[in-house]
Amino acid sequence: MNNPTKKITRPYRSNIIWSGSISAVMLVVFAYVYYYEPFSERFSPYWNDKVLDVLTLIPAVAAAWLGTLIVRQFEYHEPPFRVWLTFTIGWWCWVAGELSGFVYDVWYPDAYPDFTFIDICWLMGYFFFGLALYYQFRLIYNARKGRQSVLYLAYIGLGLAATAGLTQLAIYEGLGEGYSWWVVYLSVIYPVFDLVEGGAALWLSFLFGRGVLGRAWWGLIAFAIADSFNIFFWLGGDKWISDQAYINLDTFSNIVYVLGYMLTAIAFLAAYNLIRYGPGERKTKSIKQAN
Amino acid sequence: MTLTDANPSRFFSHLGNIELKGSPAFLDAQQAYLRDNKASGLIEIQVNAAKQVILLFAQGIYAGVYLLENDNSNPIHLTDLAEIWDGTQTPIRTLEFPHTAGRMVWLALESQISQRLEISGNEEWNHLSKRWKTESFSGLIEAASEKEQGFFYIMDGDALNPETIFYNGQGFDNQERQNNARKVIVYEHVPASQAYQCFILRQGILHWGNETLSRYKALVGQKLVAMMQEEIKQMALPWQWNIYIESAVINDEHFFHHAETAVQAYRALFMEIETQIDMVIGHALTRRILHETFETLNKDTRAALELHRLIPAAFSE
Repeated sequence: MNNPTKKITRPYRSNIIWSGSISAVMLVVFAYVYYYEPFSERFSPYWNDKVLDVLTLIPAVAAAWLGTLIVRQFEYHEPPFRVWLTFTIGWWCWVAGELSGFVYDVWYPDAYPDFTFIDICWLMGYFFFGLALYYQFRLIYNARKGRQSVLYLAYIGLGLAATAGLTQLAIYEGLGEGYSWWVVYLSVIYPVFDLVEGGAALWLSFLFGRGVLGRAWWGLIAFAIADSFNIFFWLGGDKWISDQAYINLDTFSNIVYVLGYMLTAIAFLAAYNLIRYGPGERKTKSIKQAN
Repeated sequence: MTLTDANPSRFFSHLGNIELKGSPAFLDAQQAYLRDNKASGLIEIQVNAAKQVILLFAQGIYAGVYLLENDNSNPIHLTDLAEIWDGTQTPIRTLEFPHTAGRMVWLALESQISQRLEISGNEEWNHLSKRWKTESFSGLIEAASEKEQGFFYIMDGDALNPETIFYNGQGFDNQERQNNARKVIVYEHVPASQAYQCFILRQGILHWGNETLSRYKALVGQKLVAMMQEEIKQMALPWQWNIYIESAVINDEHFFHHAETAVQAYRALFMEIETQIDMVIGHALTRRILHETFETLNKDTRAALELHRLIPAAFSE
């Protein structure tokens, strides 16, 4: 009897190549428009912003839509269903946030109110991302069924309380001067959620490695990186660096933000391909290698 | 007919074709039939009233030749047959049965009879079952009644469904239908025997594999498990291994005639499982699941797998 061979399966679909290429082009265009502001000179800063918003919205909608396709691959009773459902709801919340930005730009051309519908969308997004991460960790660590939602709400409560503490600290340090406590609290809550969820996503990415089903979490890491620059600026970091360095870091931060949506969309597409069509090309190697 | 002295046929006495004037030529023809059809079965040569020779086939390959004498079964070489049987006309019975039945007959032939019991009815049977459960008994049981005859293996007090096979007059089934009076033989396994080695490897692989698939299914859902199911089917096809996955459960219906042959198949199976899981959830999680599920195996089963390097490190490091 000859040695049986080991198949090496690699998911491969041309639509991943196409999506990756289109995303790369869009990212270059975004970077150019953000950095050089060509439409500000030709039309107005408003239209330059709108072009950037559209370039952000397209991958955001793609991520949410592809997430929806993933959710439809699972039966309601299957444990991964709630992971992908809550994750996808989070992305739709953020799409709603991006779209609301268009409306608020028309209604409030100079400055937004302290608390807007956009904030609700972002916060709902964070809530659902956190829930998806929570469900995913429970599945990985084989946690027994129990009062899952109650435990998650307890975590959220703990996070909100910690944010309140950080808000007090920020005000004590003179940050957010001239703003109400709630506005400062809101300013603190975004980076807190970003870092906590980004950290959890990073942990998941170590666990999943290059596994196709773990790549969708990479988007949250990108958002955490993007937001870490904003935290740095908010803490007064922009005053410690040159103007050019600030502009470069700010541009980089915004590129990474859009990249977060793109990574998520492409990862969802890869996962969808795998679940729907199975692995692609196969190569073989001898079983001896495992002995 | 039952398992009595009046009918000296030991295994599945309700079944099979008996050639009363069997000859060496007839024996050759029967062997050729089982070999050519890659069938599992046995050929029973009734040398005299107290002596039988059984040639057991595992999917067309010799699993062993056994001399049955004074309630004992001893393995012999095929060449020794000429010394035991001079070729005079004698009853020769040929049985073709499912591979799973063949494995149980093999295990019985390579084990020692430790007890013979006469069970009068359902109540006594239930009492015996409870006792096995309480004592966490492990061993092969052969049961024969008026209408049924078969085997099942009890592991730590619980009957193993994939290791249960009964002939009920119409066909083979993996459960006993009747609960009436029966004769029971309790076997004690010989740890070094090939039949037991194959059995314990099979149990280990099934338990480990099914625990792994259960964890994997919880993480990725049914569709990706179905994808793996198809990949395993494609892998097993050229080797004609009767191993497949159905509803996230591994079914091994192959009758391996040697532990090393089984090890080769199980290694290929786990390599395919590892490849599929690795691709979907990555290397670290795959390794974690393989390690955690391996730890759930009992000591003996784990030792058997370790002996043949069927361990997580072989597939995930």
